Amino acid sequence: MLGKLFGRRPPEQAAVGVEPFGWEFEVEPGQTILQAALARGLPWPSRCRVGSCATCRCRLLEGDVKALTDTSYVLSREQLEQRYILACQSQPRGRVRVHLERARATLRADAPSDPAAEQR
Amino acid sequence: MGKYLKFAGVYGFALATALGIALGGAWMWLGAAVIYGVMIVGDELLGDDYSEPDYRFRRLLDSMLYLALPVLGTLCLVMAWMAGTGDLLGVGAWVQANLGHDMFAARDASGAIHWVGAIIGAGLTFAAVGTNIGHELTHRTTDAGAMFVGRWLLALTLDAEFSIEHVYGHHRRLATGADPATARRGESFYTFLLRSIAGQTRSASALERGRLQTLGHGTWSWHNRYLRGWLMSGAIVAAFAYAAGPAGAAIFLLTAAAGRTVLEAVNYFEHYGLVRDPDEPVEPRHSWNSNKGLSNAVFFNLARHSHHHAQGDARFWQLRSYREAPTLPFGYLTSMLLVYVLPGWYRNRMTPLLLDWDRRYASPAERQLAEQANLASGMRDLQLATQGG
Repeated sequence: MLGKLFGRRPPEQAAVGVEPFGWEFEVEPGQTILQAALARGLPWPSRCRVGSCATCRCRLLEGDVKALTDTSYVLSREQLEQRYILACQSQPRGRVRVHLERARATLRADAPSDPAAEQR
Repeated sequence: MGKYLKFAGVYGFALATALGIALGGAWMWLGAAVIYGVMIVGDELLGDDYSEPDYRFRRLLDSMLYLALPVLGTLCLVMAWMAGTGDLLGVGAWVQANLGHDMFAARDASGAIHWVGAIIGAGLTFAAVGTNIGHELTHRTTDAGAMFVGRWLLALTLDAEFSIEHVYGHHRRLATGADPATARRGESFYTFLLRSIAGQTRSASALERGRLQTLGHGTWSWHNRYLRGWLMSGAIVAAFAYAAGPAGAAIFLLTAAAGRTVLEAVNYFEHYGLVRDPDEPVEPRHSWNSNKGLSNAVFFNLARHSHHHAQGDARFWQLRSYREAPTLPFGYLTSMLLVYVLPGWYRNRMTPLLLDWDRRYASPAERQLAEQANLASGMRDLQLATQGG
């Protein structure tokens, strides 16, 4: 309970820096990294958004996150040791830096195409 | 206050069910009659509710979920008492002295035909209160208290493994051929029922084995949540057998099966015939949504299913109406009855809705998947529409 209260009020504004794309964005209290990224129109890959498909996984380089689900169902031991996290289930505690393997290559097929989404 | 109190409605149904069973004889049908009657008529008369109110008192909303445990405990006690022979925990004497009702006579007046009604009503209550609230709670995977209560609620329908398969299986594979809990085009409810139950238990077991491997635990260990779930259900069976003998255990198992059937009916119509390209995200279009006011009040907004799947971690009170999403033609209990009694009629009723889905909602990749599904459906209207187009 206490952890929940403190988790909601991080000492500094939660923010994410994303390698190698150089994206920087702030994350509102209660928001996940993925929600904040999608709200800014960034082509962050995702499918289920409930922490079960691991499409949105990224590697934590710096800082700490609060994980909302038990990632041991979806990430391998090697990935856990390398500090992989699920963007859709992670709320940053303060500033964090993550590495994302690739941006979404294709947008939803029924959405207008966006050149920014084509970068890898 | 109404926006809070409406979620307590399901406990009225639980009360009617427990009361009817305690009254014995034909009254044992009370729960089933009240639930089907009120829900079917009420959804028709009251219609849709698109409101999306803000809720300040979230503790109150959560407490309405946790009320499930004492309420279902009471229902189980009444069932075990009526199924047994003695005076379990002195309940009969207490009721006689304080309420003036003779439960011993009520028990003697109850035959098999009355127990059928009791099992249907209690099965609906196990599902509406147990499975549904267990579903809401076990989505809160980092809240140990919610997981504990949620898994016990699910164990009442022999389905604690739902807490594994639903979150890490169904939500990931939704509307693809790999999801056992998505009904295929043309698939009858009864075929789906067996395929879904077998597929879900296989999937839950495999997911749990994978997790244990990742964490370096053995399959046969106390860490195994799949096996622990079955032990929980086994404990409930044993408690019924201890309290009310083999008849008590049998009545519990039949009620659990009835409750599980309700869950599978809901699984069936929530995604019937919908398809998704596995490489694309889950969107509101991959569920049949309903804004029927009564269904949503009684099922804690479960019928707002499009939003639930698009954002599985949203609390029930946050679920929005998504009125533009594909919409079920009926409320939840109406759909359930049709799926049970007129399964072929229901599929035909859904055919034009599926064809409309293909035209208006499907992505180009999904349109191809839909064509394959139409051709494989064995349903003439779906096949003709595909070949004609």
